[in-house]
Amino acid sequence: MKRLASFPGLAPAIGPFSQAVVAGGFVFTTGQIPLISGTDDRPADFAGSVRQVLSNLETVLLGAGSSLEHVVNITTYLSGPDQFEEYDSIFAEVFGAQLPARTSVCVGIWDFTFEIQCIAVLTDGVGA
Amino acid sequence: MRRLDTVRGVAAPKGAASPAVVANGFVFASGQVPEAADTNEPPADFAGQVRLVLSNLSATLEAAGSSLKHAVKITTFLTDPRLAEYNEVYSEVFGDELPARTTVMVAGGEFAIEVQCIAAVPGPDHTCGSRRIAYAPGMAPVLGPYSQAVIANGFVFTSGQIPARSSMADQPEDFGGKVRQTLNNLESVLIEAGSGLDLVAKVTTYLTDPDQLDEYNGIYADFFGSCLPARTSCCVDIWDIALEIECIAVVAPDPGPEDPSRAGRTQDEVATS
Repeated sequence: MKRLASFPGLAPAIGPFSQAVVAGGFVFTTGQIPLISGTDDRPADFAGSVRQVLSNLETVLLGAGSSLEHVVNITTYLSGPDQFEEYDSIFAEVFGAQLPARTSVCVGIWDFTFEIQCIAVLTDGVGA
Repeated sequence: MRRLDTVRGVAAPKGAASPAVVANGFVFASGQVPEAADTNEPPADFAGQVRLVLSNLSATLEAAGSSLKHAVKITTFLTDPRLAEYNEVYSEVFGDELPARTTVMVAGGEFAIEVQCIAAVPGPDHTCGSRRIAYAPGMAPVLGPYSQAVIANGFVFTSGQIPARSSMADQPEDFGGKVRQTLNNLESVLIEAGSGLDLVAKVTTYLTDPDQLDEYNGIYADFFGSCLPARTSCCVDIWDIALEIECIAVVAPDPGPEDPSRAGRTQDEVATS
């Protein structure tokens, strides 16, 4: 089991968690949020937030030995049902034909508007 | 890794998602909703919606080479507190082979219920070597049709743990006490499953008030020390329960949880803490 606390280019963790843990051939990521360099540095609009979160997720996955193409499951936390369509169209553009299983729900996530967690497999398919 | 394109008789998931993805001995199914493939409408009554969701899930898992009896973890998102009605249909469908489960209430969307599932893929002998933990020593009996944990392919999937001591009526009064009790319960379940807090890969925390986070983080950090899992936290409604914590952990490598090189505690140490 390998715990990855931080990644170059990713805002520092805002609580007691690793950004990703690699175990048994899978990468489990922490819910990624729309931060650029820190909690005071965020995209201005929702579309920018979605792109930032997906870019943060990609940073975590690449650093953990996986990639967006190797994502098997996504859980999306939206803060309002009206966000879904815009989110979905950006998600489709980023993931292309390699679509993971996905569940999206509306919950309270403090002042983050949007959060994504995922389970991915390692690029080389070898367990850790 | 194999992505399902479509599942016969099941409406496609909304938006950019595969119905299910198979990888490393597990099936990850997209959130199932009560949408009929022919009409794209939900059944009028809630029990009918639950039946449709579980029948869609069953068809999806079978298309992926698994089935409901190999489901290891279910997360249920309801928009209304209709737990008894949900449990009745759920018990009927799952029988005695109960997955670990977490059920919370989320803000209303298009559907009254959505069910997310991870299942194991059985081998050629139709078994997947899974083991269910119905109960861990010292813990309150389960509140519904679920196992406290299911072990499959080297992973432990726990149900959402709650701050109950001997029963729901027996809970610590303050939030700090509730967090400690919940984490003790989680640890008991993990030890019973041959794992421990030091072997947790992923935690999902369901809080019920955004102001709980700071206190939660402080206690959580004490429990996990330097072995911090990946974690996602969000705020939902969970009836009259203050918080719920679930996790995915790995099973301890031999020689097991008594290995002095591991930080894991024993059941007795958890019980007296």
